[in-house]
Amino acid sequence: MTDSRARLHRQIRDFIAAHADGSRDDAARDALLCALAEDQITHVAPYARFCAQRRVALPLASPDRIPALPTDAFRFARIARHAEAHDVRRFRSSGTTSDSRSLHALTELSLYDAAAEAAARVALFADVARMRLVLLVPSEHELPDSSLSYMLARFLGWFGTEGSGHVWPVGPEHVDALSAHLREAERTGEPVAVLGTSFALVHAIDALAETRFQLPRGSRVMQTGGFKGRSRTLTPEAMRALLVDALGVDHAHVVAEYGMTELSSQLYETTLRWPDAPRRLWWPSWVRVSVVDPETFLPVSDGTLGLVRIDDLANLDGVACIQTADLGVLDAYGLTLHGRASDAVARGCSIGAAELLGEVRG
Amino acid sequence: MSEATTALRALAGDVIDAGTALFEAGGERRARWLANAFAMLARPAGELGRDACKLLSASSGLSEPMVAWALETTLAPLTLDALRALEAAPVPPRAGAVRARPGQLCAVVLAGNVPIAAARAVGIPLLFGWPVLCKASSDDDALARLLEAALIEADPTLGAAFRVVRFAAEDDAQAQLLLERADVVSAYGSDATLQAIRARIAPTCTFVGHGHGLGAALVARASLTSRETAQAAARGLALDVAAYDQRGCLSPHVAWVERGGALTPEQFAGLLHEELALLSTSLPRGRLPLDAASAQLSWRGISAMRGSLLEGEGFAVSYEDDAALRVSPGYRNVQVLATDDLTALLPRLAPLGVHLKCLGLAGIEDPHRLASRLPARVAPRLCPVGRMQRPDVQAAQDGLAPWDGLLRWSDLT
Repeated sequence: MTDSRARLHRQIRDFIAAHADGSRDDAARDALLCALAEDQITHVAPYARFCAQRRVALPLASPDRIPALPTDAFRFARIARHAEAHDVRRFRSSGTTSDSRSLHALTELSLYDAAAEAAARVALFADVARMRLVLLVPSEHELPDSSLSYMLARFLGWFGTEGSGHVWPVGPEHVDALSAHLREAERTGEPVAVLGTSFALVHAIDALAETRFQLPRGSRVMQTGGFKGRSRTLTPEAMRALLVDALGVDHAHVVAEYGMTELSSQLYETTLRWPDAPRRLWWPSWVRVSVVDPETFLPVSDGTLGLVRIDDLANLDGVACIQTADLGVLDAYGLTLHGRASDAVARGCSIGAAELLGEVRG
Repeated sequence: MSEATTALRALAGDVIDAGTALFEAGGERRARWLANAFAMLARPAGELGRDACKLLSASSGLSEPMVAWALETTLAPLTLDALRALEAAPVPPRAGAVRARPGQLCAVVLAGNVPIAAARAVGIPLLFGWPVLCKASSDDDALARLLEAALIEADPTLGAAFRVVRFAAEDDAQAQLLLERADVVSAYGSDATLQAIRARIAPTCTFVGHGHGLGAALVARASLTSRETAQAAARGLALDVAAYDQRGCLSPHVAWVERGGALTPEQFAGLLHEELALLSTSLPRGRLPLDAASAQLSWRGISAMRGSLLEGEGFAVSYEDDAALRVSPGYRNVQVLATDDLTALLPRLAPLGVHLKCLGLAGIEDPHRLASRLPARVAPRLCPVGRMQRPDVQAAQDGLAPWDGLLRWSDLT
């Protein structure tokens, strides 16, 4: 490790530890973000070029002055401060071809783990040290480049009891395995957590058909990601209603998780931890969330729809400040997502990149 | 049957009934009628022309100066002489063959509101004697409605053979009604939209599909012999990019520029930036929807990361040396790529296929030779830069004659 990296690693690790209880120190976070970004501008070549075009002036006075790299950039370049030979893990987004998949390369996982554990402890497992976990995702051995599979595998160690495990794939042929977990929870009266992608949960519920469960009080569901064309699509409200009906969990105990390959940290809905507050996405103290105007890149006022930007201190080895294509609104309670900006832009007859297959090289 | 579908059925019947008068009017009267209607819309001093500018700007999001330019460049050339020539242009397959009477109805399905598409899409079938029932874009029917008003005003009898309807894309019942009595369906839209429409039509119905597309420019080193020649090419290309805010199927998203001229491709990118800056004042870009802004942010970010990004007020030029084509989100974001040899580049246009609608040329000495070397099924319109968005009324569309699908011939042998 270089000296600057070692120093930043220590500072970020200490910051996460100091605020693992959900406490906040936004001023300290922002100062650390600026220091991290300045270091990344120096050491991450594609980001350096990006910032040079944006005419970034150093030193950075505030995170709003740090250019956020679009998530698409991770498909077109290796965004890492270290050489490929030092990768200990490569997370890739889902996609049909290697050209269309983002790469997040990490040289070590301690910050990733610390961030993931602390945030989940606050938002998902604040009321219980351990519980049975049922993971509706491939194991990390089956899908080693999935950050979700990696994270949930860690959850087994941090939060899971004996009897926890994966149920994958999810379909009519495997419904018995899922049912066994859920019937056991009903029998023992011990709450269970079901965690998976939205499409996997839909497949699971559809496979259960008319079967219904009344899971013990305290049971919860964590759903993440979209349907990706792999199942029918439901609104968030319809999805929650489906899960409540099929599993008998409390409405407030259906919690959406927001993460992405390009980030190291996650956001969670608030209803499990803060049931009296409106349902919003919460983020841990080492993350900064803003909603920006896509032309000026400046934050919009609360209540205004814009593009979600995530600044993640745990993203030490790549770029901390990420510009997503997700639409959102911030208010006093947190973030509400409003879908993803579409590539099918309302043009006249001009074809969009998504429609046009292949590339032409000059 | 709902009220809406009952009304649509009746409307279709009325349009079909008006087809007799339309056919019997003959080509000359139809040409005169259409020319008068187009002139009404193109004239900013007239009531319809004034309304057209404001309404189309509000509905399309294009700036008023851009709409005024679009109306003038699209509609003003559709003169009586031009329309007469178009009506007389089709050559029979054999001497003596007789042009058959048009069928009972042409259904036109429009997508989006780029004036070029609507005027030709509707005007050409009417010129050849087809009564037209036009489904406007579910988001915006402003131009179609203005055309309807102008055509009625120009000649109420012939105007009865053209009507506009608008309904949601998901309305299967109305979609089926629109198509079931049509002998020709002329549809504009994405591949998925065209496929869905084609699946609904009767086997005896002719389908003419105009899919989404894009343009590209080829700038040869012969146009880069001096700053003046290069600036002229850049000026023309800038207009092609700026027109319709780069939202049309002819709009260039990329310019391949040959190395070896007095100016480098990167210098050409700089000139293009200068010319787009001038147009940002005289023909300002319209409003930028949030989805487009997001795509623009991402596209520009990758440009900045990989090459040079030259931004301006409402436009950007990306120079990425010889990187791969990245289709921009439009809205005046264009890529300049370098190549050693434009001729050697041609086979690599193959993946664009039928979606490549127009090639703007600068410094190409023998466009015919270039056209003959295009890959299979790549049949764009070729024209000088500066003319990409101003196709001649007789210009081929998607490699086909403008009357393709509309005419049949009785062969007397």
